[in-house]
Amino acid sequence: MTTIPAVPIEILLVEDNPGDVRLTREALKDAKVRNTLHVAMDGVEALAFLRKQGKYAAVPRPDLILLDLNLPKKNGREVLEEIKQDDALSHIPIVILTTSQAELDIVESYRLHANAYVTKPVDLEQFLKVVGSIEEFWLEIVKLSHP
Amino acid sequence: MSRPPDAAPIDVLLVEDNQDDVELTLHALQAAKIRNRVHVARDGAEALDFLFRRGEYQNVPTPDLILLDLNLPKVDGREILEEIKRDERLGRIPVIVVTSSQAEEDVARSYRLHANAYVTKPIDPAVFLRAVNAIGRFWLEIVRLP
Amino acid sequence: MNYTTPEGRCHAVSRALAGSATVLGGLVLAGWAFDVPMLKAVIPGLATMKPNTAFCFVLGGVALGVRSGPQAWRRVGQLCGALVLVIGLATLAEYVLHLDLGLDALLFRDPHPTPGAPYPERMSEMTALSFASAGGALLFLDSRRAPVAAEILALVGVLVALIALVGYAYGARALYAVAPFSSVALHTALGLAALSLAILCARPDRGMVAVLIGDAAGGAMARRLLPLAVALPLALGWLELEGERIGLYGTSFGTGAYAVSNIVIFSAATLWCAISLSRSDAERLRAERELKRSNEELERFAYVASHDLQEPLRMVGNYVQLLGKRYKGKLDADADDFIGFALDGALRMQRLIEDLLAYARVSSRGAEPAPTDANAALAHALASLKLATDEANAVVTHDPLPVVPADPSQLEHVFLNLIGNALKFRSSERPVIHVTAAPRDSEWLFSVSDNGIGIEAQHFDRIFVIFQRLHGREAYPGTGIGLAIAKRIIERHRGQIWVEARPGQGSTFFFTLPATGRSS
Repeated sequence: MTTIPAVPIEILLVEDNPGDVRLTREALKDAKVRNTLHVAMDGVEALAFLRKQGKYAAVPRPDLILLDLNLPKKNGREVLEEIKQDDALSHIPIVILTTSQAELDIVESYRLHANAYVTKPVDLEQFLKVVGSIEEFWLEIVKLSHP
Repeated sequence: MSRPPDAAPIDVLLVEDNQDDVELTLHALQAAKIRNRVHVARDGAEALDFLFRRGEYQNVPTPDLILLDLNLPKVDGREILEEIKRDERLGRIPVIVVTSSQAEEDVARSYRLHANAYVTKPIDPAVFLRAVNAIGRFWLEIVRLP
Repeated sequence: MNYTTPEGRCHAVSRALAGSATVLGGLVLAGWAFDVPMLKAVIPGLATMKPNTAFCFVLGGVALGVRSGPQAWRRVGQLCGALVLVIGLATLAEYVLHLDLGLDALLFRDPHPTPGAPYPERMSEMTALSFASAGGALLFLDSRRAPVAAEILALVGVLVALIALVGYAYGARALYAVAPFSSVALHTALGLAALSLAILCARPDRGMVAVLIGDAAGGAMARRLLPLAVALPLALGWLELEGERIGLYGTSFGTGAYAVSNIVIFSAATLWCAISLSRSDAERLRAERELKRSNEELERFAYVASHDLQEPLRMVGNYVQLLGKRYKGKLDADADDFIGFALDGALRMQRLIEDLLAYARVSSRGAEPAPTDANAALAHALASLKLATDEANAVVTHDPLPVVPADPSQLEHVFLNLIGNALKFRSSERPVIHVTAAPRDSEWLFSVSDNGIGIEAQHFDRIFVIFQRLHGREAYPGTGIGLAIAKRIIERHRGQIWVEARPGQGSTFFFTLPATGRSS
């Protein structure tokens, strides 16, 4: 059902490349649905954010997580597994957004219950289109869970 | 974008008992840019037979994507979701719940059972069409399916 | 004539021996013509070389001599070989069937026949057998289907000559005279040896001669042991006979000593050979392993380099594009130009890196060759090229293609590249492209021919080098890696790829793939 919610959607982007972070931010600026983008630069930070630990005590719970697989410290796969195994967090949809096109990565991610797997395109227009499509589906069409 | 033009068509399993909804969905997916084949199961039992290749469904392909209604005759959609996600081969297939129920409980439970997405069916058929188009665009063109 | 390669030297030996046989035959014929006894029988009292024998030596020598000449001469050579065969067989028939076909005295009559000899001009049975074999060997020399026949037949001649020569060396008449009045003359035996060896050396690219002169371990071993195998028994045998003759020891002692010395010397030689060969083999294995390791490292480097380069390149490309989107027309015209050039460069770099990755992946992602239907691979390639084919209004035809051991997606890629190029580099005429495959020895020879702009001969090798292009980027798009990848794929499949073309007259690209073996 395509309703525009009053409260902005909280998106957590887990990405270590500042260039990609900025690109995603730019892409989401034109989104139809108001959204706030939070960024974690590695897996440990991401989990701390989700569990509202330390400096993240007052952050909102994200409605959607965009997760890169190539992360320092804890790699994306581990983060995915941990989130989906945590009862308090497993309801949050995770869209893998990564450069890898490897069959292995794709299958593993779905096996660990990633909600969707999207490859980052090389071309800018394609990238904007992809983020736009993510935004359209997950922010406008999908009904998210708010326990 | 992610598939070459002459690649094999994507197999979609639509589990839906409402005939109007089936027709709308078929119509929307036929117009999709990526070639796809839609298999329809009218109730839960049929769906399970198709997925586990039982009876007349011995030679069907494993679907690449499943659109699942929750309120189904014979076997309930929620049970089907559970069974799919528990299976080694079927568990990785993205399942999109497309249902009329807006109950928070259904939404939460579906996500907890690892449904990939939950979409509530709009009452207005035009809006429904747009929703299915959006599903098609995201899941057939953008997403990498396992 | 190239004397530096073993094959070249072999050819030279063959020629020399054939020449000697011809000269020998010619001299003896002259001897018969002018009644010079010394030419007919080298040592007075010994058997003479008969006229037909001398004639056959000339024919045989000629047959071998004209092999590298023009077509007409080669025909004459084949005729000579056939004639040698006929003379040999006919003479054998005369003996076996007790006939007189009248061919023995066809050339010359014996003016001083030995009393009691029934057919004074007829060659001995052994000689006739030898020539029948030699003639047959000459005819099979260039046969594709039965190359070993020539070798075996030539060896028969060598064997006959060996028997006769050993007979002369040891004074054992029975070895060279099968029946009274029918013996192999000394110079006949030498001539037979020369001719048969000449035939063997005429094809150094095949059979045991190839092995013998090759640089594989087997050849090295044979080259060391074979001379010993021939010379040792001869020398020891002569020693043994001489000892017996002068009464140093009796037959049983002599034979015993002969056996022991053979065993000892041969075993020692074999062991020494084995030791030195395994040493050189071990070195070669080490060199191979070293090469393999450095190849793998290079591939990994190429892969990692191009893979890691992609990400920063993506940043450059994306942000230049973003700059363009946001500030095009807002800064001055120069800025627009600068952004355009930067973007163009980034895009080209991206494509180069993608191509480099594809190049590195030919072996890292290549599948083991399995029986693949080339027709299907071609069909897939054409399906991918449908847009380009329609656009160019091209006609693509093909002969039925075989099943070959290959990685299907890589074979498809080769077709994709070759036909894609044929379409890209088309002339003003309607493009006509034809794909064929024909068997050639133990391979399949594929060809992709077009009527496009062609290629100058000096560039035939360059186009297969990575990133080499013959035309500007404006004229024809592409990074220049397509053919390099195709070459890598074909070579990975143990084939070869090359081109024949002329500017303005189209090009034909050839590549070979091994034919599916009987066992695979």
